[in-house]
Amino acid sequence: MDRSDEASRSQRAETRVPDPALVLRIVNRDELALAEVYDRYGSLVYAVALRVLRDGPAAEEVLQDTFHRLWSIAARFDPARGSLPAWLAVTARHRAIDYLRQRRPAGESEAVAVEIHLPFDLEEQISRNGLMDHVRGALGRLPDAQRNLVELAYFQGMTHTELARSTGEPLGTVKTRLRAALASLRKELAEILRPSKK
Amino acid sequence: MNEHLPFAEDLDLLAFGLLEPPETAALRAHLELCAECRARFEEAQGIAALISLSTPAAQPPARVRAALLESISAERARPGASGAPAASAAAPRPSPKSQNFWTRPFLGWAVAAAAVLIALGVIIPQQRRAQDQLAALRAQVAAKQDELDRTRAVLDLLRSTDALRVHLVSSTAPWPWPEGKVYYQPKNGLLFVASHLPPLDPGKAYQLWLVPESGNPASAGIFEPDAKGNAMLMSHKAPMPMKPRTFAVTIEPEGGAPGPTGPQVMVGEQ
Repeated sequence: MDRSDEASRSQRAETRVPDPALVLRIVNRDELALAEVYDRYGSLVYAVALRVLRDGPAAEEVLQDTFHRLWSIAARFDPARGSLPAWLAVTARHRAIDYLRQRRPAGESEAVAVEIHLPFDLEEQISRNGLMDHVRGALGRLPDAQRNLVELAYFQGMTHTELARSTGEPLGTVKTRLRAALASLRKELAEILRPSKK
Repeated sequence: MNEHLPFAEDLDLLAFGLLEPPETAALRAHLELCAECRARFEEAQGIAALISLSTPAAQPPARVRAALLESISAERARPGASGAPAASAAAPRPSPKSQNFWTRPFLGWAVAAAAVLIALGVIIPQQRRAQDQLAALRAQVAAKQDELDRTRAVLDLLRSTDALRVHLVSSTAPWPWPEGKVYYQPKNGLLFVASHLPPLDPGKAYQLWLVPESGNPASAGIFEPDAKGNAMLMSHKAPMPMKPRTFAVTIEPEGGAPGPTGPQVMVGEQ
């Protein structure tokens, strides 16, 4: 990256409206703020929906639905405590799985927490690609059988019992593998969720 | 932390959406009251979010943005559409006309006097209503205390490290198949949660059975599902002193049967 690119990026960062300010404007029914958030994170939400559904038109529906949801609940979202892109990505995943399984969207208590804590500026992290590389690396280091289960569970929304039926493995084996996989992911990823390691 | 061990590893599974509805309900009940597990759960949610965020970005078609903004505008323009949550901040200020009203002394005080009289007529009934509300609140407190006692009993059972946990499933029903989970301890009793139960015919009830290795099954009680097919059954008194081998749910006549006679809905073995 040359100096002019760096200067331009730095200038953009300075003029960039922070996520909390945009959420506040959405609370005050500012449609332009919603458009700004969409421009910032629409591709992320679409990507998550597409990953689950593998169907463009269905993913577009989930994309719209997720931003409608943000418009509806913005007043309850505390951006000082939760990460907006994390909430959008997790909501998109839940909505897509509901769509995939033709379920009605879950109620408040069963769906996504309003705040998901990520103690860093995600936009900054994404721009450096470090975070995504770290997560993909952690997933990649899992044994194949464990990674396949995590993928099926996370992006297809299968529960233990369904995974056992789908893979033909005994329920106990599925549970053991999943627990081992999630323990490994926690070990590798929890560090970057703790502010002291920032 | 020892008392949280039965939950700790399941918190990751909950954050990833991997648990069955009965297990989810039990863990959520624990999270309501346990700050330590809540912190661990929040961290697990963060990890789950990171996995979503690791998805490579994909550009949606431009029409989606236009459609979204159009539908939001249309929603706002609809008569009766809710305004901003911050609407109170944008409440209209008193107009110059209303301010001028109070600059006219006589009319202003006459209206004030009328307001006092009206207020007197309002205050006495309000006092009566307040007394009624106080009685209602006391009843609510008593009900909450009762609920809290029951929640504590559930938690004692869930926290006990030697409680038996058995997953009951149906081998024949179509999706979404009925399933349930039993937490059982001879000392603390039994908790059973179930989901996806089909509605019952009139005059019928579900009945939970404990089946020992030898001897007759013992009834743990009858129950009915709610409109969503969920049900919970709790008993502070264990129906049998030893740990049973098998748990099963059958459909029986309303009021229950002395022994299982009807069709089996789900079954689980330890």
